[in-house]
Amino acid sequence: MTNSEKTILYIEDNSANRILIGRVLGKYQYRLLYAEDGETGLATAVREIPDLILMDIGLPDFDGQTISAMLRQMPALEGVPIVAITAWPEDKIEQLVTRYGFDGCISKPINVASFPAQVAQFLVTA
Amino acid sequence: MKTIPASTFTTDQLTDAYNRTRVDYIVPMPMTTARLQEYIDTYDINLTASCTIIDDEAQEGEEDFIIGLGMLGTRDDRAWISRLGVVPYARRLGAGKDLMNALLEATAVRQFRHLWLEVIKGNEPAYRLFQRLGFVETRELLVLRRPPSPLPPDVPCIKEGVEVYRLSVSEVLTRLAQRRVRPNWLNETESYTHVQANLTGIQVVLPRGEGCGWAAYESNALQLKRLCVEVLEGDEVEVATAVLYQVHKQAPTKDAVFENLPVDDRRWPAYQALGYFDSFSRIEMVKDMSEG
Repeated sequence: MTNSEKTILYIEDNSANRILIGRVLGKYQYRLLYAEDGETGLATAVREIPDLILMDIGLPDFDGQTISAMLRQMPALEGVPIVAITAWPEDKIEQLVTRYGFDGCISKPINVASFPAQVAQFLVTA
Repeated sequence: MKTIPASTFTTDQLTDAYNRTRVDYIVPMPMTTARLQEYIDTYDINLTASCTIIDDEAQEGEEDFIIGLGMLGTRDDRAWISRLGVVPYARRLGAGKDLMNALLEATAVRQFRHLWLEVIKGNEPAYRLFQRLGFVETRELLVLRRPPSPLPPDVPCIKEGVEVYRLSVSEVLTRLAQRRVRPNWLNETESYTHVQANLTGIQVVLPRGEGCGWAAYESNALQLKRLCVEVLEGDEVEVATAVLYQVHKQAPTKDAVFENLPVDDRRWPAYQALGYFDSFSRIEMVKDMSEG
């Protein structure tokens, strides 16, 4: 599967972060989808069945933990990696990632140099 | 900079300002307009007493017009500061101090006896500011989470003959008002009263007179929230575990969030037995307004 056939859903309310990640991943030709809140993210994930979900933890309606918990209960999304993107402290995020079934975590602010490789790694293991 | 009542603005404008004050927070907790309105209603936020700081060089409608926000909840003889924040660029201009002074004045003018607030544990600059303003620490509060997960098969409370009864909303509210441990503002009976349309209560009786307890919680499409457990008879942890077990048996697919359980609460081991963990802590503080 080429990059252009891979869909990444980024659930994030902050428009600056959406623009940044759009630019950083732009040249890799992924199909990028965005959702500004948890409920829209849930609906988009179910409709599009992406290859990877990048999840902000602080969302304005339901937080990233709750949305991840709901996604994890949907058979159609079984095996789709969900990666938390957050500035939470390391000790807290580790617990959150494990307990809520995230496949990993990328710290905010993202490192624009290493971010594409981090994303590619999660797509490989998908 | 000028301080003006939050009631000057629409909920849309306040939501936008609130989100801008938190944009660089480690735990930003942004809100939609609907969620902020729900927050205002549930926690008795008095917008006339709540304050905003405006940039008087900016024009209304410009994004940076409101540069700080502090909300004041008011109930009986007490008030509560919440949603306090200043946009990043204005923090070194004294906007936070102006905001706090305005909230203290709004509390004093209305003759409330106590002013409460919470600060995230580890936010030392804010904690020290509140101490300097006369607030004293009362206790540490845990924000608990439990993802949807299978019920533990080995908890000792799973016995034959456990009886579960549904409580009416009025029964739940009456029992909430009789709790022995003072609840934090978020979990006061007034808060439950405002969410009673989504409120559920159950009573759990263990066999052979081994104990009895009850629970109340708010439920929405995805979450269980505001889960309060009380033990009437029997071992505190065993009965609380049995009650929590029954709550989650009834709502197995929902994510659970319970804010502000006191860290020394004797029922905390029961929450842990059911798979809860503490995601972060807050420090509750109070200022006796009679002390000036």
